[in-house]
Amino acid sequence: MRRILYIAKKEVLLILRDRMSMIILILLPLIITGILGNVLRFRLQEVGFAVFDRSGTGQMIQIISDLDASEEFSFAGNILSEEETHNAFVYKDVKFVIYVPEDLVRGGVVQIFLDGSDLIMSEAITQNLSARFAGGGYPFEISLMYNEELKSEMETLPGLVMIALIIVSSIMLGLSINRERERGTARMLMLTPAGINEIISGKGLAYLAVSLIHGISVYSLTIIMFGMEFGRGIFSFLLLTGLFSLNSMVIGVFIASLVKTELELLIGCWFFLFIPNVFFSGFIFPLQSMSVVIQPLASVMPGTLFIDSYRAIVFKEAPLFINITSFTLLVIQTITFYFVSIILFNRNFFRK
Amino acid sequence: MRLFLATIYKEFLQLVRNRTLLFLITGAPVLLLTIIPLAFDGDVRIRAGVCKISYNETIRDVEKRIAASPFFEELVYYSSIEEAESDMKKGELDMFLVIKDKEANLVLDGTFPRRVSGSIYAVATEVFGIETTGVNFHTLYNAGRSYRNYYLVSLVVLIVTIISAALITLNIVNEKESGLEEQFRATIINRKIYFSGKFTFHILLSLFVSIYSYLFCFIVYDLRSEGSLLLLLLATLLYSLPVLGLGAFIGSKSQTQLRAVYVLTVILVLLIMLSTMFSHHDSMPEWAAASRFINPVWYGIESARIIILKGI
Repeated sequence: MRRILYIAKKEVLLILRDRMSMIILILLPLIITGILGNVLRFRLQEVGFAVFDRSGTGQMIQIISDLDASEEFSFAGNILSEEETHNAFVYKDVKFVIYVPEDLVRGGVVQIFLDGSDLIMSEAITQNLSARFAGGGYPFEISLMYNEELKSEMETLPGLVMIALIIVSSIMLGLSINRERERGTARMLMLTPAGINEIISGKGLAYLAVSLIHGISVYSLTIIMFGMEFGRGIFSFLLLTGLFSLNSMVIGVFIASLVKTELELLIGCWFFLFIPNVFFSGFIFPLQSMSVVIQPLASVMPGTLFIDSYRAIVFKEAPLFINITSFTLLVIQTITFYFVSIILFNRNFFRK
Repeated sequence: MRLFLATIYKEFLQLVRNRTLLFLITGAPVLLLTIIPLAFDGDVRIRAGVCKISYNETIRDVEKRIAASPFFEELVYYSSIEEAESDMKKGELDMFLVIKDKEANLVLDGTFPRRVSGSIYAVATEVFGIETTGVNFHTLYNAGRSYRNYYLVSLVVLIVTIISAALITLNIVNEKESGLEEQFRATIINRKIYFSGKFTFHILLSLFVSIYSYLFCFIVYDLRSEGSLLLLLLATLLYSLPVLGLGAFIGSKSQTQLRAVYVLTVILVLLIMLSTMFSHHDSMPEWAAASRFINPVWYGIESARIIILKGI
């Protein structure tokens, strides 16, 4: 235990003495969530559209001015010929074209042309427009839970916090280990009485303190910037971020044990942690829409577990025991990856 | 010229002799392009529940319609609102209908604003049979609204970006840190040749990675380019320049690999997320949407989408 603390102290000094790197390291998650939290919203806002009116009756004028007046859409101009439709999509900032046929009065159907190469946008437009043209009110009442104002940042915030934490945590500990191996200082550690186990847990202890700072700073950010209430689930939140960072760190160590240099670690973390967790965590695609083959794997991804628990803790004020499965899975993954990497390191840690 | 070729050859040998790295830039893209498309395979299904307070005729109709609709997963029944709410709290339920006498109340989980409008739309059309009258939707380009083609293009650009930027940045800092660069100064290779050789090699490498990835997509997923392949090649070549330039800049400004990795990470995450890879710029605040003009990743993705999906 004392040896672990010595290693941790060494690592803390190493972090503190490189001021520039320390500042970047501590600010990283704050920058990512701060900027992206304000940017990534899946909401339509002044989307340009054009109208190709062949009826000449002016029947559509009311609808078009309604659309233009709404927050979501803005009228970009009239189209006079077929070729111009194509040109509008290519050269102008037009996302959909409303085509009014000649025989509108005699039961013709209005056509809406969308751009399938901008798929996320087109799906959102389709939903919005079909709700508008659905006609009449709904025969049922709608009530929203947890997010009555339908704030769109609620959708992306858990995912962004996840991305910021996973990429920073996984890289920082793995990097510090592979750095020693690449520069040969690992051989000096070999001269000390500390074993592999103690070296890695000592280093981990130092970086766990860093990730605690990350947790606190991200929590404060959500209060200041996104208007969460103070004190809501603060204990569970810190526990969750701590556990999740530890999990990412250990997976980072595992990747570090498979490769040799810092470059390989960087690419490994991006490819095998960042990309799968972005795509499989439900951040972009809901889990239910995934292929059946991958669903079981996706549901135990650290990112998925984090996002689900984050939603429950921060947005739904759920008690801790509801997330007990997520927490247990995170702990199991952490322990497994830790022991596997220790075994691998026992074989190759001191080799340059 | 001979010196220039020699530096390129040196970079090539450095890469080929490192087995792990070679695997990471040839095996990993294949692995990712095989696994990741499984994420966008199926249709979005809504997890719905029904809570009947009092029995009436409507309820049987609702059951039948939900069971018949492709938009919903299997219906879950609840005997009280509290039960349904607690399932929603656990995140196991997207929406539930409360049916009481002749009133129906739709309760939705508001933490997924994107899914809310979809659920309302599905309930209105599928359960209560409201028709969207007089309007038809057509999708030009990528007519099947295939998520697969759309995201495959993004994924290839993402992989190429990460490999090119990471490789050149850490290559430069590594040689600086290990003193190799100092030793080069003692040779007849001057800095210009040394650097342009490095740059040329990495341009070729990122071209190789993109051609290789697109070829894999073509063979496995039958992703065909609507536009000319020559243009796609040119766009890929042009895209690699700013990414490599950015990487080289970070590399030459950083003292240690540690710092380079941190700076590169934050810049790459921001560039990728601010491009239209996972979002669209019409939903961003103006300053963020305007940042696309100086964001190389935005140009990379948009040009690839325009050429492959739109075919211009």
